[in-house]
Amino acid sequence: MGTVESLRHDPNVVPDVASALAGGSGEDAVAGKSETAAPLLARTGFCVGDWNFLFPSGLGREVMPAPAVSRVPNTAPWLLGLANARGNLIPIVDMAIALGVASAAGVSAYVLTFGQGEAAIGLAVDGLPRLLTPEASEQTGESLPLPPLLEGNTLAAYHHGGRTWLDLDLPRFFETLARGIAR
Amino acid sequence: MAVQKVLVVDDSATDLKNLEQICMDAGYSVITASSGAEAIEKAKNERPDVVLLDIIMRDMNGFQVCRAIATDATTQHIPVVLVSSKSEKTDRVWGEQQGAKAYITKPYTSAQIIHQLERL
Repeated sequence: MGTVESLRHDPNVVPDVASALAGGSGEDAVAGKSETAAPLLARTGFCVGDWNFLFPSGLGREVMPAPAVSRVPNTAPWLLGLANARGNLIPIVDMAIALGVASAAGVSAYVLTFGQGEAAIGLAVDGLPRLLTPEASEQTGESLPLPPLLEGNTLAAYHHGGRTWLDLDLPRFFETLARGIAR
Repeated sequence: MAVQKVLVVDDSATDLKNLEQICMDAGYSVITASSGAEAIEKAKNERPDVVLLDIIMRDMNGFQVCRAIATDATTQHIPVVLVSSKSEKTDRVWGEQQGAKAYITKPYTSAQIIHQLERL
């Protein structure tokens, strides 16, 4: 897909995001911008079934209602297909299928896109993403049993707002998706 | 806040000129940019009082530009107004999350643009 490298080296990615990608978690980059070094993390959160995820705010390109997709033969079941997103064909990954869970009932599906041009990718998620600012003190050392696609692709877990949120290592997660896309 | 200098951003030359003309006719000082990167640079260097920003652009889109302006210490005080033909509810929500102060849907009238600038 090319998404990972393009995000790492994309000069258009805002500085805190570039630093986050270079440094891993992005926490240092965010904390470094704060005059008081307040342990707040600038994250966007999204949900899939019972799972809740975070990623550094600024990495997301846009969010859109679930678009029509065209299936691609011989690909993983979680690849819904290709969608025309403002003239660009982008692969759409159904996160619920990828995680082996059911989508939340009664919640509209949206697609969250990352990257741009040929390096773009969309994740189908439950409901609209939202801005969250978990505190470093909310990080939990708890080890959660993860679906195979998430193993090694999370940076931390936070208890925030009554839910547990997994901070995704997006570059690694996209690498995992890229490795498993063909069938 | 009395707006004097407006940064207009659109990668469509026609739309850019139209918006520039509306603002100039209303007596505002106008600077323009035709890409996201140029917009960020001019926001930092020219210090406009407001940015009128298209969303659908080829490289960085308006959401990404908005976020970059809203999170940079030197530009975060500059209000960003998104001006776009994208009219989904999701666009407004996402735009707000990226730091936009207002949203104008194309096609717009001169009065809508001026009214928005006067409200800031």
